[in-house]
Amino acid sequence: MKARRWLLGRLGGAIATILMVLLLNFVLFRLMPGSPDRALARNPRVSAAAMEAARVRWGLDKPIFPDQLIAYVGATLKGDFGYSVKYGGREVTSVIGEKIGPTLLIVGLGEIIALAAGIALGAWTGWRRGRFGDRVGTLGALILYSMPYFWLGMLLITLFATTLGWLPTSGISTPGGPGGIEGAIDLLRHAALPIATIALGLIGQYAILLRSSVAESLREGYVLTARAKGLRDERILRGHILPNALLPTVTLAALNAGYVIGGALTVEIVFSWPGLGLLTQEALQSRDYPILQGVFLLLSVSVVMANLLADLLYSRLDPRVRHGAAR
Amino acid sequence: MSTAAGADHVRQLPAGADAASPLLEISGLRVSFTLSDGRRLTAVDGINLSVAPSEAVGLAGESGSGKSTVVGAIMGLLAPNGRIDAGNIRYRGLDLVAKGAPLRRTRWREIAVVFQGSLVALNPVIKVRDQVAEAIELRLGESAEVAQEKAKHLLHDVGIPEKRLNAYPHQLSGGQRQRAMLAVALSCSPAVLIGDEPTTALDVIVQAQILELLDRMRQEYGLGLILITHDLAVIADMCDRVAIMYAGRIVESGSVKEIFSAPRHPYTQALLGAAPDARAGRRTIKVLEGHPPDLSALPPGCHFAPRCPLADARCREEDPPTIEYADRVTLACHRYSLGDGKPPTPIDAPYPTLELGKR
Repeated sequence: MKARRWLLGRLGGAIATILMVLLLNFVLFRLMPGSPDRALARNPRVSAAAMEAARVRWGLDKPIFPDQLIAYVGATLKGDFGYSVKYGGREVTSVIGEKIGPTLLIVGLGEIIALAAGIALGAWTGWRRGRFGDRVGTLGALILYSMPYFWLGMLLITLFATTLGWLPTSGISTPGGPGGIEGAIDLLRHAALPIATIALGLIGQYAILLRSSVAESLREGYVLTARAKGLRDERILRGHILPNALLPTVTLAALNAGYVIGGALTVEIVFSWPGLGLLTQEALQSRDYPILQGVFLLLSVSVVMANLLADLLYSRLDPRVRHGAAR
Repeated sequence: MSTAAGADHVRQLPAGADAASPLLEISGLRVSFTLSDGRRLTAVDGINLSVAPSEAVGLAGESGSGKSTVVGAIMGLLAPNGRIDAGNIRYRGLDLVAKGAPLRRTRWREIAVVFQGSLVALNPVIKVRDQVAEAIELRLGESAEVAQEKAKHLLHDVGIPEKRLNAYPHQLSGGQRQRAMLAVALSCSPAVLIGDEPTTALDVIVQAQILELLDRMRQEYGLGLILITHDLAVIADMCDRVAIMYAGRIVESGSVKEIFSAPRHPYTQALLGAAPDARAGRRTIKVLEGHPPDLSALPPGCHFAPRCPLADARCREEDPPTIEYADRVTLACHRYSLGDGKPPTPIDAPYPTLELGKR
């Protein structure tokens, strides 16, 4: 089976990439100036003996290569990600597990909204390329595309939270707030602006990509055939152009699924949203190696998986790739 | 012969059409395009063309002579910068040019096209069977099941093997794709079929098969066939009548027999001279020198004059009128005297041997 061999090849590639990332993760953070024990050393009353005990406990007394590396890779492969330095020695998996939910909530909803709106906007502007609606729509998409998340987020806070006072400025819930259904509404009110920020930031990307592939498709022979068949515009767009033009957009969306988890970092900082982004920032400040290694490994794995997903999706959607046609 | 999907289909004419009127009649059609620098280019300059049921009409000319623009005008699918400036296109008396022309009704159901290059004319991500069924379902209002069934019959009829029914275009050979394109074109049982260079990209054997199929379908369905090609041999084999186009004008037209045995217009003579003919034992071909003119900067007079070995001062100043000297036999050339119903005679008698170019 050609398809099975192709799939196995892809999986093998993905695993090899993750192993490389594992090594890189280890090296990268140890190249940073500073060390976890310095965080302790800021406390002037720590005795030299206590410092030494901490170093031994964290394995920092051993040479980085090969002892620390072997310990890290060996433990990671066994599923042991170690303990956080900063979070009172809690397991890394438990800390990350706690923070991943909030991130997935804003990133997932943001991406879904962006995809739906971006496809609608891109298809509409592409179909009307060169006309007034296209110019306005494309300009809007470009403006959104070029705005950094943190800037978009600050604008939204200024407008909807500070000026209009409709939504909370930051956090994930009102302290001491209600539970149950009212609690869920409270959560959504807090999540609204972060989600809007991510969605707005991504819409432009999807809309511009789809617009250009729709506009390109309009010149294709099969569109002329569809018109000659006497089909309605809506049918031509949905039935003939989009199945072709959506291919790159679907690929981009799948790739983004991997990147946005990391990309939400600035959004989380702006909104003090307690997710992986905020965790990463805190871990960086305290040189919390185990947490950083855990988060980066997670991000890398999600990017690699997203790539794999994009490949699989593309081959499902395009029969030419599915059948291994040269084109 | 198999039961073709449309053979038993009782043709119902669109509202306003008249069964007694000619099937498709183009008269005085002029089409121009606006170029990006604002100039206008006249791609089709006052042509007349008609086709009757079961008749095959060839439209021949070099690339850029305006052949495909005629297709665009008939289907109402000119590029956005294109415009029909004058003339009429009538299907059974229905005006297809007027504002609010019933193109939605006539496209594909009355007039269908086999486009050149089926690799691009078919949608790459849709199964050919679905592409055939689509118009049956959406244009004829049949249920999905009936449409699929009809599509199966049609594909069988054009010679697509049963096991390729669910293939995508790229999985078919070039010849099979063109067959599938023909099935798509026949899906609504049109009365007129336009073949726009339908065999251009195919090798000669496949080309012959496709042409044979096209001819069989014409007879089976009683199609009026307009065959657009630069290949005169194809027209000689396939068509009853022929129109020779040069720079947007039809310079000569008539029955294939008449035109091919006694070509009168110097351009027709040149075209026929440029076609290799093994039977005549001719080892050299005469090549027409020069290029088709720039349509956006046409000189006055006969468009062919700059390349014509017979052209004189009058040819370069005055448009030659198109004279219909016998029923549906026309000629547009100053170098012939066309008097009262007699066949045209060359002005310079005896007619000189044409030496069109060298080699």
